[in-house]
Amino acid sequence: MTDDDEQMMSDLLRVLDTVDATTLPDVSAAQAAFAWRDMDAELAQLVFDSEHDVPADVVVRGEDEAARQLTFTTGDVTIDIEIGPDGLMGQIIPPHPASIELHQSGRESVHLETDRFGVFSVSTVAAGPTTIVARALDESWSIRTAWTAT
Amino acid sequence: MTTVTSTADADLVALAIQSDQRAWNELVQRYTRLVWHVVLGFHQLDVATQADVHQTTWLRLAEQLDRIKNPDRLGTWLATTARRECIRLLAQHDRETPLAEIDRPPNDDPLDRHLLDSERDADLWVAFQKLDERGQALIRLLLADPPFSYDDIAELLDMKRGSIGPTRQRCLDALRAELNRTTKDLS
Repeated sequence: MTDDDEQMMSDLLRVLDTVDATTLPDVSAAQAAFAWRDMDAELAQLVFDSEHDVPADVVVRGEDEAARQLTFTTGDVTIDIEIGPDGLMGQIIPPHPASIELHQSGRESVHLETDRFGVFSVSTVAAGPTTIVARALDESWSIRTAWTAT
Repeated sequence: MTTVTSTADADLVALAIQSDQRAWNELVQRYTRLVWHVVLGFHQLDVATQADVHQTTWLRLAEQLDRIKNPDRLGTWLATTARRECIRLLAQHDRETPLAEIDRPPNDDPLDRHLLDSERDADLWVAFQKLDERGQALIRLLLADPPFSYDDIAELLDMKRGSIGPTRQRCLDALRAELNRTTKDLS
């Protein structure tokens, strides 16, 4: 890089630092994120996201155009989730009745139970970081989905 | 009271795994600006969504802490996680937003301009926002603190290591041309 280039980069750093400082997120929320570590449930990793794993141009346009499908799994237990205009719908696989907690960073948690086939739904979900904890009613397992921004 | 300021990332991660909130706070202090730099590279996302990605990235780190394979490269892990979340949300955004709305003009908000001391800095900010997304993201990664290696940047932006230099040059030339144009317009 020439001296001119070096100068331009350091000017850019100064400009970006000044402008970014006005929007820099409050670190306290990120520091508080640590408290979520204590959830007593096995982590289910995100293994499929229709927004990411299917190219936009092959998505079939239709009634569920705006629905986003996500799959989380621990290997033994899987949760399929669909988020669309009508809220969030989920299904435990293999089907199993469970209690469900829907947590969103900075919001009240929602508690509900699945039907006997492991199906559950929530009518409204705010945008933001989200995790779902599912606990088998017979206490055979507890899982939580990896945090995902919805 | 001991200070953790100069502790290596790997040691802070090890302490945080033992539920040491202070070590965690230090990690957040150290890397918030870097994560934010990566997220701001996706200027099509609104600020609320960008803040969600920032928070999601830290929640992910908290939950995955004991699975981090290479704690010495924590910056890259955070940047990769933030970038992936941005790409997911951008895909969703693209599908929901008509194209016309995405093509919004660069931010020429006088409020932003007033933050900057000199007219030239204000012009540079406007010029920077006219770079394409890739150019903006590259410049931001090159300016990140703690710094990324070229290998990290190549991986993050999915570009060849050898094209980092030329792309940076192209961006700097574009900025210079834009600044010259602005000066000429005024005279």
